[in-house]
Amino acid sequence: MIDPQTLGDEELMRLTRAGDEHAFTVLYRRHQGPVYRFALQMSGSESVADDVTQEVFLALMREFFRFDSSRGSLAPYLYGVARNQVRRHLERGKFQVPLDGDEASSFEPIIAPGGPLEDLTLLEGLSALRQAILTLPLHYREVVALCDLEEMSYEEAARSIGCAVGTIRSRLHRAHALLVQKLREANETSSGVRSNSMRCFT
Amino acid sequence: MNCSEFEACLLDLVADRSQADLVCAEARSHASTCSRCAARLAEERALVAGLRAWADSARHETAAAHVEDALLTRFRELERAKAAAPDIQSPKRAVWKSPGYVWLAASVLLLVGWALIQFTRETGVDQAQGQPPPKPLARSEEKAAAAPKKIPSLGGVAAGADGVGPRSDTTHPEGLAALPPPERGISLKKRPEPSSEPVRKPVHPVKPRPPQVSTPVTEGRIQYAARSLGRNERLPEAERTASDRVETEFLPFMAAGHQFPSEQRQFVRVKLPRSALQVFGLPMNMERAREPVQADVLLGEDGRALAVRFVRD
Repeated sequence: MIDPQTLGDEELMRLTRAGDEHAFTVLYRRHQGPVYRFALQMSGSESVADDVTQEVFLALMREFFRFDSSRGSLAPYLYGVARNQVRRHLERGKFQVPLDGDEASSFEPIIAPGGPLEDLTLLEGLSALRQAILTLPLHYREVVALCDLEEMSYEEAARSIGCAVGTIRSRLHRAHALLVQKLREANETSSGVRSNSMRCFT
Repeated sequence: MNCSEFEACLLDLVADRSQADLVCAEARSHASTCSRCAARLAEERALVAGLRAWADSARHETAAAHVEDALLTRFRELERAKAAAPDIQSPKRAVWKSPGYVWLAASVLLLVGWALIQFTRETGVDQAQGQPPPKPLARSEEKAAAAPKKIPSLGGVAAGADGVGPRSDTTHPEGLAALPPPERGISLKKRPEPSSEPVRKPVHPVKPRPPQVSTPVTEGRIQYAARSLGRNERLPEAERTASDRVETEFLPFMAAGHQFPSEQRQFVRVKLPRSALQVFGLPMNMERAREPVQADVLLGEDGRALAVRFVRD
C-alpha cells in the first residue's frame, strides 16, 4: 500500500477525483497552511482567512477539471483562487461595520519602533510592519505576501497573479518603497520630527 | 552607476537575487560613495529582515480545525451525490462537449459521408462497365436496352427493363395463387426526382443482371431508401415522367423459389387488389382498400411468374 503522504500533488488530485477521501485530506494538509497565511496577510483577519481557505478547497473539490497540471503546479493555482476569494471578501467587507472587539486590531494606528525602521524584527516592529502592509493597495499587498512572506519566486508569483514577471518586480519595488515611507512617517508622527526625504536621484 | 540605477537593482541586491556579480559590485561601490543610497540600502535591508521575521513567526499558522471538518463533510456529500447519480456530467464529458470537439466530430462525419457517397458512385459505374456483353433480349428488353440504362444499383432486375415493359390491366392469376409467406419483410425504394441534366449513355452496353431477391427483415419494418443519382446514373427518359415513385424489391413467388435463372425474362405491369399488400406484409391504407395497386410481375422464359414488386406512382 502506497502512503499518500509520499505522493505528488498530481497523483493526489487523481485519487481525490476518484473519491479517495484520504488523498484529499493529505492534499488539504499540505497546502492549507500557505493558503491560510496568504489570506491572513492579505486580510489581517483570521476569520476571513479561515473562510478563504475553506472556499479555496471547496472550489478545488467542485471543479477539479479546472486545474491543468501542464500549466503549472498546484500551489500557484491555489494562491490564484485564494487571491480572488480575498478580493471578494474585502469588497464585501467595505460595506460591513465591525462590532466592538471584533478584529479591531486592524484599525490600530501604525506605531513604529524607536528609530526609523530601527529594528522591525522586534515584536513592536513586526506589528507596525503588519499594519503598514495592510494599508498597502491590494495589488502591492499581494506581491509582498507572495514574494516576501511566502518566499515565492517572481515567476511563481506571476503565475499566481496572472501577470508578467516584470510587473511583479516593479510592483514589489514600489511596495517596498511605500512600506519604507509609511514606517518612516509613522515614526515621525510618533516622535514629532519630520526628516528630509531619504531618496536621492543624483 | 548613478542613484536611479542603484534604486533599480536594490531589490536584487538585498535579496541576493542578482545573478550578475558585476552589477552587485557596482551597486555596493555606489552605496559606499553616496550616503543617501547607503541609507536607502540600510532601510531596505531592515525592511526585508522584518518581513522575513514576520514570515518566520507566521510559518506555523494554519486554518482552524473546523475548516477541515467542514471540507471533509462536504467531500463526503459530493461523493454520495456522485454515487446516487452516476450520470452526472463528468469533467471529461464536459471537455468533449466543448465546441472544438463538436466541430471536429461534425467535420469528420461530413468527410466520411462524402467519401462513402463517392465510393458508392464509383463502384456502381465500375460494375456497369465491367459486365460481359448481354445475351439476346426479349422484345420488351430490347426496347429498354436501346434507351440509356439505369444504374445497376437501382434495384436488381429493374436494370434496363423495369418501367418500360408491356402493361396489362388484368390481374395476374399466378400472382395471387403463389404469394410468399406473410412474415417476409420488404424494403421499399423511393426513386429520385427526374433530373433536368442531359442523359449520358454508358460506354458499354449494360447486361441485365439476375433479379435481386429482397432480403427478409423483421416483420413490419419497411426500409425506404432515397437515392441520389450521379452524372453517369441517369434514369431512362420513360422513367423521368414518374415523379416520386416508390417501388419494392422483387418478391419471389413460392413456386419459383429464390433462384432466378439468368434467362430471358419479361416484366408485366399489372394491377392487383390492394389487399395483396397485406399478404406480403406491407402496410395498407384501409380507406383505399377498393383501389387496386400497381405491380410489376417478372415472367420467366416459359411464361411462369417468378416474382412481383409493388409500384406506387
